Amino acid sequence: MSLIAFAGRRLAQAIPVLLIITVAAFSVIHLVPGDPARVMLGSRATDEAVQVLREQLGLDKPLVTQYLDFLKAAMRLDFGDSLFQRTAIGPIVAARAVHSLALVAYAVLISLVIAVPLALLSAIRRNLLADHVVRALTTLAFCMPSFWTALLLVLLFSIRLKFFPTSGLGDSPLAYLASLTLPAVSIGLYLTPILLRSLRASLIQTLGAEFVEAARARGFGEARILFKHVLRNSLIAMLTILGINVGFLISGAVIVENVFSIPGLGSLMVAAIVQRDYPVIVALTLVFGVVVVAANFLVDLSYALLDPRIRQ
Amino acid sequence: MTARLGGLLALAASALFVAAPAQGEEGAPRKGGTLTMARDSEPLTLNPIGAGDNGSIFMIVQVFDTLVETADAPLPQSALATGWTVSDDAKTWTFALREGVKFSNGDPLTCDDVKFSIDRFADPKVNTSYGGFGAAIAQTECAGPSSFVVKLKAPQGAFLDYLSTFIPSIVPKALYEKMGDKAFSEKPVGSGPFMVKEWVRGQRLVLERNPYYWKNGQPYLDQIVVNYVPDENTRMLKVESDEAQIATEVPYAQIERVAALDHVDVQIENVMAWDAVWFNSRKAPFNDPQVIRALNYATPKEAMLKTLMHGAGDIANHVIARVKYWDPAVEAYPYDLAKAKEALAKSSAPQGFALSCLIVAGDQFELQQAQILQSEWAKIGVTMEIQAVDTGTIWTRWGSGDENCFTFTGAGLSSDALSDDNLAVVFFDFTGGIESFWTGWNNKDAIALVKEADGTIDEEKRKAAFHKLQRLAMAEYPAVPLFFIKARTAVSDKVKGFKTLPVKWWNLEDVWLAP
Repeated sequence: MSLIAFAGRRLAQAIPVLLIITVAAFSVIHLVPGDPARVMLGSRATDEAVQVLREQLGLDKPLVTQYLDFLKAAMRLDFGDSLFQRTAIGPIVAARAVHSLALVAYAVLISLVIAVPLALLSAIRRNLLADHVVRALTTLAFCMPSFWTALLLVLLFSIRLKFFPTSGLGDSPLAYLASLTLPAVSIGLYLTPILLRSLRASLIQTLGAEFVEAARARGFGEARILFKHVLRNSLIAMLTILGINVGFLISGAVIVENVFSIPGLGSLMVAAIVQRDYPVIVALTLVFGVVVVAANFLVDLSYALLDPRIRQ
Repeated sequence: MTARLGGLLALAASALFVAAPAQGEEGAPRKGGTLTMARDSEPLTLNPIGAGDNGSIFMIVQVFDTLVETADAPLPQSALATGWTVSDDAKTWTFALREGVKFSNGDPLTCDDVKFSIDRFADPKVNTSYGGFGAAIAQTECAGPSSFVVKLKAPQGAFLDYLSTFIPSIVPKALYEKMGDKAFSEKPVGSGPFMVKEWVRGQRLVLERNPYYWKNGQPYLDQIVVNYVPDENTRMLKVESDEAQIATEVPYAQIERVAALDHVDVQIENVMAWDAVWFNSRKAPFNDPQVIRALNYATPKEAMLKTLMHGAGDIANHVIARVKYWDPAVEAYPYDLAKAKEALAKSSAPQGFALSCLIVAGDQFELQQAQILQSEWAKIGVTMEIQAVDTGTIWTRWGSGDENCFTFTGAGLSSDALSDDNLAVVFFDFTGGIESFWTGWNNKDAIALVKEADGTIDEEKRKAAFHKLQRLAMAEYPAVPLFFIKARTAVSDKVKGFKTLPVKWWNLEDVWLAP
C-alpha cells in the first residue's frame, strides 16, 4: 500500500473518533447540574438575563438540533463568545494555539537533539561510566519540578547572563524564538529523559538482534549499522511516547506557560475552568481532542515511513 | 474579585489616610519615554459599562475621563466637570462642563456625549453589574452646551463618589452607536490621558499618549506597555531584570528581597481592600454574637500580620475596608484566649463546636492563614476543617447559604467608590440584594443606619451614621475581620510620580521617567 493510501485509511479511521470527541465536547455544557445558563450567570442573575443567554446558546432548542448546530459552527471554528472575555472564542483560541504549537514543537526539537545522541551513547556504552552519567543526569532533570527548572533557567540565562528575556513573547521572529527558548528548554528537559529511556531500551534490544550480527558479518561499518539499521528499528517505541506527550503538552504546559507569561492553550483552559467560562471549555475540549488525534495520526504516518511493513 | 461581586463593592479613601509621598518629587517632570508594567491581571473588556474586574478597570481609567475623578483626596475632584451646584432638596445637581475637551480621535466632547454616558450608567438594563450605583438618577438633561443637569429620585449621599468611578466614564455617543458594544469594548475611544494602541489578549495592552488630553502638559509618558504576567515570581524578575519598571502585587514573602535591590523600591500604600473570615448567621452557632466574639479574641492578628504579611497591612477594626467614614477610635479585638474562652462559655456552644470553612484553592497565603486559625481556634475547642475549592465554586457555594464559613483572597475584596455607602449596602443591609454578603445578618438597626447615611448629603450626619454602624458591626456581625490590605508595588527608581490610589488604581498621567 502506498503511503498516501495508508494515510487516507488512517484518516478515515479517525473520523468516528473525532465525532465522539464532538459529542463529548458538546456534552460539557449539558453535564452542568441544573440550568447551564443559570449556573453560568450565577445565583443573582435575573430571569431575563438567563433567558437571553439560553437563547444565545441555543439551549431552548431540541438536543439533536443543538448538536448539529454545534457541529456546523465548530467546522467554521465558530464557538460563540467567551462569557468573560466578551469576544469571539475562535480567534482567541487560534492565537493561543499558535504559541502552544510553536512552544511544543521547539521543546520536542530540543529534546530530540539531546535525547537521540545521548541514548545512542548510553546504549553503546551500556553500564559503563558514560551510561551511568547520562542516566543520572536525565533522572535528575526528570525529577525537577518544571516551575523550579524554569526559574533556575531564568535566574541564570535572563537575570545573570541576560541572554533571553525573563518572560513574555517577542515581536520579531528572532525575538519570538528567543523568548520561547527558555520555556522550550524547560519542557524539553522534562521530555528528554522520557524519550531517552525508551530509546535506550529499544536500542539495546535491537543491538542484540540477529540482523545486526548479520550486518556486521557482511562487513558493514559500525556507523552505517548504527544509524541505518539499529536506530531506525528502534525509533518506533520512542515515537509512540512522543505522540502521547505532544498531545498532553499542548494542553498541559500550564506551569511553564504561567512562569514565562506565554498565552497558550493550557493557561486558557485553567482560567476558563476557574471562571466557569463554559463556551471556552467546550471549544478547548474539542481542540485538545483534535490535537491528540492529529498527533497520533502523525505518529502512525512516521511508523509507516520508518517501517514499510506497517503499511500492509 | 471586585468583578464577581459586581459593583456591589465600592470602597472609599479615608480622610485620615496619610498619602505615601509620591516617588521623586525632585525635579520637574520630564516628557517622553515608554513605561513597561508587569501586571498580575489582564483586561477582559475596555468598555466602562460591563467591566467589573480590576484587570479591566485599571486600564479603563487610563483611557476615559469622568465628570469628577478620584485622586488622593477623600472627595471626588473636578475633572470633565469644572464645578457643580446642588439644589436645596439635594435632588438636582448641575455640572459646569469643561470647555474645549476633545476625545482622543479629535472629536469635541459635548454635553450630548455626557448625557449619553450618564444615561447608560443610570439604566439598570445597560449597567447590569453596577446598577445600584446609578439607580438614584431619575432624569438628565443638557441645559446648555456646557451645563449638565442630573435629577435624582431622592437625595443620595454617595452620588459624587459613584460618579467618580469608572462606570460613568464619558464615551463619544456617535462613535459608540456606530461601533456597537462589542467593537467599542475592543478599541475604545475616550478623552482620558492615554489611548489604546494595541491590545493582544493574554499578552499586553499598549497605551499611547492622547495628544488632545486636557490636563496641561500631561501625560508625560509617550507610551505604556502593560504586560500580563500572572506568575508572581516572574513578575518580580521582570523589574529585577529591568524589562519592566513597575510590577504589581509583590508577594509578601518577597517584599524585603525586592526592596533590597539597588534599582527597585517596593511602595506600600493604603488601599480600600481588606481580608476577613465570614460566617453564615443563618446557622447555629454563628447566630450567637458571643461565639463570633470568642473567635475574634482567639485570632492572633498581630502575629499573623508580622509573619504572614511581613507587616504590610494593618489590623482591621472594621468588618469592611477603611473607607471615607472609617472611625479609627473603634477598637480591634485583641488576641486574648482567656476572654475568648469566657465568651464561648457564655455562648450557646460552651463546649466548642466543629465547622468547615471554604478557602480559595491554590492560594498559599490563604492556606497558611487558615491553618493558623485552625490551630488557634482549636485552643478554645473550635475544630475547623479547611476546604479549598476553586473561585467559581466558592461563590456558588457561599451564595447558596448552606455553608458555615468562607474567606476570600485578600487581594479580592476592594471598593471602587470613595465612600462607605456601597460596601455598607452589600455587607450590612440584608434587604440590599445579597443578604449582607450572604452572611444572612439581618439587623434592623444596621439597615436603618445604612439608609439614613445614604439619604442625606449632610457630611456630619453621614459620618455619625457610619461610625455607629462600625461599632454595631464590630460587636454583632458574623465575621472575624483580619487586616486592611495594602498595595505592594515594585517600582524602579527611574519612575517618578507613581502612586497607588485608595481605589487601587493609578493616575498614570502623573508618571514620568527620569533619564
